This record gives sequence, C-alpha cells and structure tokens, in this order.
Amino acid sequence: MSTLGYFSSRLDRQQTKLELLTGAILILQAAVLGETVKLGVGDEAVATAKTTVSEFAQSLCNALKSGEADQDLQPILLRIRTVDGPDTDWIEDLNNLTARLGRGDLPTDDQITRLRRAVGYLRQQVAENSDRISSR
Amino acid sequence: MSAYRAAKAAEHTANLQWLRAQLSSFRTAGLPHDIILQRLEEKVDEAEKGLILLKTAVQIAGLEADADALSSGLAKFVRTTSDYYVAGLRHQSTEELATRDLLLKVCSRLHLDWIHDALVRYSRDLALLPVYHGDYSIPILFAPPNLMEGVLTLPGIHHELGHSVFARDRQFVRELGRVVDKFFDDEKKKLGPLAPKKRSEQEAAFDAAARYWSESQLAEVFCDVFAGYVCGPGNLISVTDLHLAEGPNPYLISNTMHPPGAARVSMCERALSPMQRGHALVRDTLGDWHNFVAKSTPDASYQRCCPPALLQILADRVNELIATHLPAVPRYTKPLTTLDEARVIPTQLPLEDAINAGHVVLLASPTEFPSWWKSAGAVLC
Repeated sequence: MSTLGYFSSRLDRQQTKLELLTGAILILQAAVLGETVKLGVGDEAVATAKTTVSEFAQSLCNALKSGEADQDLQPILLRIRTVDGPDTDWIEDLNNLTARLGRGDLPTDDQITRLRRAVGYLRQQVAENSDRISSR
Repeated sequence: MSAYRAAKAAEHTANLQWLRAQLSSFRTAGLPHDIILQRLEEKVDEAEKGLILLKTAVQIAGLEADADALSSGLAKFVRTTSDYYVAGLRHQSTEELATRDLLLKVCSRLHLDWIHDALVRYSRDLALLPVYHGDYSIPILFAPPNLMEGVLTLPGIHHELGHSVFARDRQFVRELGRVVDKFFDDEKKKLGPLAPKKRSEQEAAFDAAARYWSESQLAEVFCDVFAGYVCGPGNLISVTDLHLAEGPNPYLISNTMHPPGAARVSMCERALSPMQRGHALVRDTLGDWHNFVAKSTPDASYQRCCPPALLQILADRVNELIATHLPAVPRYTKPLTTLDEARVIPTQLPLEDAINAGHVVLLASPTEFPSWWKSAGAVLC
C-alpha cells in the first residue's frame, strides 16, 4: 500500500484548479488588452472567467482573514505570509478585485499581476507534489 | 512569437497527434477498454482546444506569461496520459486483464458506481491512481505481478478502492478533521489546574498531535477502515501481516509515512464487530501481533498522537460516514467461518468471501492452502 492514492488525487485536484485559473486569467488579460476576438473567445467565456477568478479571490481573501485554509489554499497562504506579505495588502486588493468583477468590470493590470502571483504559488505547489509522486 | 514558444507549440502538436494515434491503435487491437479509450479521446479533444488557444495566445503581445502557463498544463496532460495510461495499455497481460475483470466485479458489488472501467498494471506495489484530470471513472490499480498468488495482500485492493471513495467527497476529510480537532480540544479542557507555563506547553503538545493527523494520514485511516467495512476480519489479518512482515517500529510517528502500524491494526480491530473480533483465528493473529509490538515501547509522541480513545472514535466515525454517505455499500458482517465451512468452495466465490475463507484455510491448515486457492481462484467473482 502506498501513498500514491492520496497524493495523486490531491495533485489532480490542484492541477485541475490550476488549469481553470490559468485559462481564466489568460481570457481576462486578453479582454483587458481588447484581444478577445483575436483569441477567439466570446462574452460568455469572459463572464465565466470573471466568476472563476472572483470565487478564487474570495476564498483566498477569506483564508487570509481567518488564517484557516483547506489543503489546496494552504500553500498559497503560507507563501504569501513568508515571502509576499503583508496580509492586509492582499486582503485589500482581493476585496477590490471581487468588487470590481462583481460590477461586471474587468480587473486592472495590477490586480492581474497579483492574481498571477497567487496562482504562481499554486503552480509551485503542484510542481513539488509532482516531484513527490514521480520520486515514488 | 519567440522561437521557444513556437517550438513548444509544435512539440505539443506532435505529442497530441502521437497520443491520438496510440489510442487509435489500442482500439484497432481490440483491447477491452472502450470506456477508458473514450475518456482519453475526450481529454485529447479538450487538450487540442487548449492547443489552439495557446497557438493564438503566443501571437498576442501581453499574453506571454499566461500562454507559458497554458503550455505547462498541456505538457503535464501529455505526461500523465502517456506515463499512466498509454504505457499500461501497450502491454496488458492476460493476468492483468483478468484482475481488471475481477476489480470491476468488486466495484459493481460494492456499488462504487462511478467506476466504469479500470486499468490494472502489474508494475509495482499496490497503489491506486483514483482520478485522471478530474475523472474518477477510470482508475488505475498498480499491483505486484504476484498479487493473485495468495490472500494476505488482497484486502489491499479494497484499501486502494477506499482512496477513490475518499478522494471524491471532501466531506470525509472535513468530518475526520473535526473529530481530531474536537478530541484534542477536549483533552485540553481536561488539563485541570496547572502553572501557566506548564499549561501552555501541554496545550502546544496537543496542538502538535492534532496537526499530525494531516489529510494524508486521515486518508489512510479512512481506507483501512473502509477495507474492513467491506471485507471484514480478513482485512485485519492482512494489515497485521503487512506490519509484521515489514517489521519497523510499530509505534513510529512520521509525517511522511502512513500512520504507525500499532495505530492501524488497532483501528482495524476496533472497526470490526465483537463477533468478528471474537473468532479464535482473529484472536490468535492479534496474539502474535501483541507479542510483536511488546518488543517496542510507545514513545511520548505516539502516546500523544494515537491515544486508544482517539483511535476508537476515528474507527467508529469512518464506519458511520460510510454507512451514511454510501448506504448502498454493503458491510461485510460475517465472522470468519470454521475450517470445514471454508473448505467448501461454491460455484461462484465473491472476492471478499474468498479472502475471509482463504485466511481461515491459510491460518488453520497452511499446507492445504495452495490447492484450495487454486480451486477458489477458478470461481472468483
């Protein structure tokens, strides 16, 4: 009996979330640049991307406020707190982002940059977990 | 567009074409894996859409970072599909296909209805890949090539299926996490009058003990008890054998390993009914186990992380969670039989009955076991 069962399912869950967020940020960035037509995505895809990003930003914001996060958000929380604080800046920006998306607006460049940082921490975690599985 | 990004896009194109050709060749070869092939083809379709997006994105200034992230996801998709599925489908032995048929019958009997097909790979120790890009319907069971040559390891199949159950529903980990948190909170409340420094130390120790029970540890607890739920006393003997055979300190607490053997055996025992626990062969096995663990001493870390009361609560809670959330999953309530009863092999023998009868024959009449197992193996279902 090995730990593959648990770690592979955790990795798959994180990878799925990562792909969802990666696609959503790409579409929102294209929308900010006015390039959605060239990219071949319509209004519906932009709306879905806004919802995806908004839900992620909200859950990360809640985790930062409470200090409690599930295992998928924990690595992001940990990295923000060890190398990318302070929490208050993140909370303020994430709140502004969700409010903006809630109004139907697109994110600002700075907000996309911050989102990419958060998703980058998730990507690092996925890479570490991949290593853990492949070394078995 | 940078030369590197263009090169990566070209590489993804070639890889996806290769994947599609591989899947097509498996269809032509007539492998009995229509559902797996269909699911993989659907995923390749999705990946091709992602590739089209990538090829467009790399030509738009300002999307480079996001395109690189998309590219990385495509590379991972190709790697997991290739390493896990294509490599296994290329070399399906008769024995692997027979075990796959048996596994699907077990899944059907246990009402794990989300599993529609499975790939068995005789390539390593027992392990399950329960989910593939969010899809729980086509797990891979890895197993050693001698998996079906005896019964002691076989409840490990049920343990591994437990990972599919556990991974699909986050409710299980949340509930078990709550059990652990409440247990150690209650322990803190029981501390009584202490000097502030001493109280603080004790509370920190309980917090550390609660943290030990991470998701990965709770997953293994769930799967152990799940295997006992569906497989009965045979699972307890199997887990006992696993730790007797491997022989490390049964009290060793490590964040990178399964829960200690002493805790696992204890939970598997506690999850059985009194009638199942009371059978002479179960008591004999536990007697051997207690002689083994008596050679080691539980350290403070084990005593703090794995108190008997917590192990009992966890075993009970997993049983309750399975009964509540998966009411169709049948609980194996039968005790071990007598040797005479075990010798009678019916015309069709469900794996769980074979495991329990097999343990009876193996423990009560070891020399008889090889011929019994050969006959039993012919009617397994």
